[in-house]
Amino acid sequence: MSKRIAITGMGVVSAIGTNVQENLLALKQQKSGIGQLRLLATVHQNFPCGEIKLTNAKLVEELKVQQEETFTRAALLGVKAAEEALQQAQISAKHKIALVNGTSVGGMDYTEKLYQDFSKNPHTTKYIEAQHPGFTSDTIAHHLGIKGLVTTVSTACSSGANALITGAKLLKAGKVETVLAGGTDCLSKFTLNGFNSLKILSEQLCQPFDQHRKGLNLGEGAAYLVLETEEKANAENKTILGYLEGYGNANDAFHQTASSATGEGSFLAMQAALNAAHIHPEEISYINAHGTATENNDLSEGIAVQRIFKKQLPKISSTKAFTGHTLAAAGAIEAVFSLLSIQEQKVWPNLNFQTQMAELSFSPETKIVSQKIEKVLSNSFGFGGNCSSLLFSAV
Amino acid sequence: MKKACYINGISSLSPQSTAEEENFDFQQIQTFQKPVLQVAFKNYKKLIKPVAMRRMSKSVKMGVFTAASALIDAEVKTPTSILTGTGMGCKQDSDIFLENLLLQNEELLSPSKFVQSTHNTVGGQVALYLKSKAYNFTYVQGSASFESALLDAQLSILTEEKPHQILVGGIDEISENTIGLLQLDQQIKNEPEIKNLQLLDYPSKGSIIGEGAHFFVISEEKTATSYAQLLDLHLENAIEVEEVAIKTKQFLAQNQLQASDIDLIILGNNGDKDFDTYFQPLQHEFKQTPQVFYKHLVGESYTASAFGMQLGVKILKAQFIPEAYRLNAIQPQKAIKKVLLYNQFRGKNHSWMLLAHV
Repeated sequence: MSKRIAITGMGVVSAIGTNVQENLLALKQQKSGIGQLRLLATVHQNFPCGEIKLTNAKLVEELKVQQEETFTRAALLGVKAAEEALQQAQISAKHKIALVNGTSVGGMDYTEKLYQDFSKNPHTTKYIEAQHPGFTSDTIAHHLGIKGLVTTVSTACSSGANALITGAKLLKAGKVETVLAGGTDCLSKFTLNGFNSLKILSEQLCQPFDQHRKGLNLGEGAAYLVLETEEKANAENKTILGYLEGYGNANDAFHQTASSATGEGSFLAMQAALNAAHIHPEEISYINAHGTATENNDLSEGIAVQRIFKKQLPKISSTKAFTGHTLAAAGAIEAVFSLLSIQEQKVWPNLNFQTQMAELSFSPETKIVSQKIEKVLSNSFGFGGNCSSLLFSAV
Repeated sequence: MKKACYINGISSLSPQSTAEEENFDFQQIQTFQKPVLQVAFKNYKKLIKPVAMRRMSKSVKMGVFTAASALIDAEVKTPTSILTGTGMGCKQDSDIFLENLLLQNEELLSPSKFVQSTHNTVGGQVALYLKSKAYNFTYVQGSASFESALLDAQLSILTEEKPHQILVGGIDEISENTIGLLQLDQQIKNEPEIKNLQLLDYPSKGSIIGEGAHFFVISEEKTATSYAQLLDLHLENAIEVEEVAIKTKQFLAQNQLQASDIDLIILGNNGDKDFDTYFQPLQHEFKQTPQVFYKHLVGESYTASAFGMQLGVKILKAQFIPEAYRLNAIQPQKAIKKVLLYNQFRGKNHSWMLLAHV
């Protein structure tokens, strides 16, 4: 019954690189991708963001998108990352695979650009349907030639992680043989203004888990993993990059957007992931934290981590200071970073950290730590109290 | 051994609800002359405190209400997971936030509409209402949004060794602000007056639109009051009209069934002349089988098929096919044991669901 879920391909595009190798290099060089906005047309230029400096026109050209296809930026970024993952996993028969996508705002970039002008420009009406996130997934699936099972998880900032959970369940139930799962989100005025209205954006580079943290930096990106059962991957002599050994999702049931002081949701999610994988907390080598650098998240997550690991804390860091908070893509991008951590046997640093939080007994790693890494926990939390934790293990 | 999924509780809010009563009645049919079918229900205070209701958008009210009443119907206090599907999420709040952003040139925005705008708002609010810390997922996949949530329910039962009481529902609301855009996109018919009961007689593009929330409680445990069993479901993102009959037979064969085993078929015809062609192969293939449809009574929406499933479940329980829902005149020759549902929207996100009498 309990099939092991192997990862046989991964692809990523973020502010620190347009493929896995570039992302890895930036992590190793401790080079952040956060800075001044250049592409997003917004009045709020004071907020640094993890923007990918590739225009839509450039992406269209690179990905050989046809004129008649209706591509949102999230779909363009999604295709870019998905193609890399499929190539690594040597997937050719695309009609046999399922796509489980995670996205929060989907085609909002086009909606906000065209909303007031749809009636004046008849050629733009094809973007009216792009308002719903499923449209972005449909576009990605169509471009990749995936025609069967396509679905989208939209649980705000945990969408990408949750897409991987649904993907794993599809394989365990034997519904499909191969799953492409991950997430994509682009920067938009909608999200930038939304987070600004909540007063949780920082005008400086974000400082996860720092006593003086001032909020998050938004980012954009996409990442996908190819998931297959271990049995199938072995039968086809594929290189296994790691295993999705366990996962958990729980709800904080505290507030629509804020996390509880005890971190109940994150505690339950991490506990469920450990239980599902039959692993003791002390076996975890590294936690890739959600760590958005908001007042509320880092405190709540930090308390939850202390509740799970007590005095034996593994190495912990948030990579949000590299990429910015990429919303629905975050869980998938950080899944790739967790697998790279296993591959390179390195803990990625938590950039911009200076002062330990008064409420916590630990500090995140500020430099790259080379050590034995077998099991990594990756956290993703979202609005609506949604908390997820993924457990990756080495081959 | 394959584990089964039993439907043990239901609740529905649709344009067929009245101001007082949520669940639709087989005989009392609401009629409409316009292409926008709203939920007229007002009696939310039966289950939701007025103070909590003040901050709730229509989606949230409809979702929380039907989730809570489906649990009461199933006599379940705590769900083991909360799964929602929605095509557009909390559309009205998203539209208002976006319009304010554009009108005020990104200045002085209040966060209240933004925080309610995420697609998992209903799922999160149901969790808050029930104080449930359980697994909580939201799917947004066009006309397969509810089916995606239902698929997760089936996957949970198949892959997890623990007892389940799964709350699964589909929710979509009409946003006043974007009715115009849907007309522009020819999703809504252009005729000045449309009699909903004659929806299929208007040979034009588009349909009539609706809204609603439909929740189910699903468990591997059969109870004395179980409504039906969900045998299986299947999704295909993009297929041609010519493939519909083949895919349907393949799905039935996977469940050791053939077309003649089906006692009732429920189709998603919405009167759109460009896309109702997708239903014709099955209307033809199953011409000796009783056929029903429902979008003329509740309007099109990305989660209208969740109403279709409530209809199937109620017909199985009552062993009676309501007249207003009939697509053909064939009467059942024997007990209604197996019901097949097929739906799609604009040629995309095709779904098949198979229900059985218990």
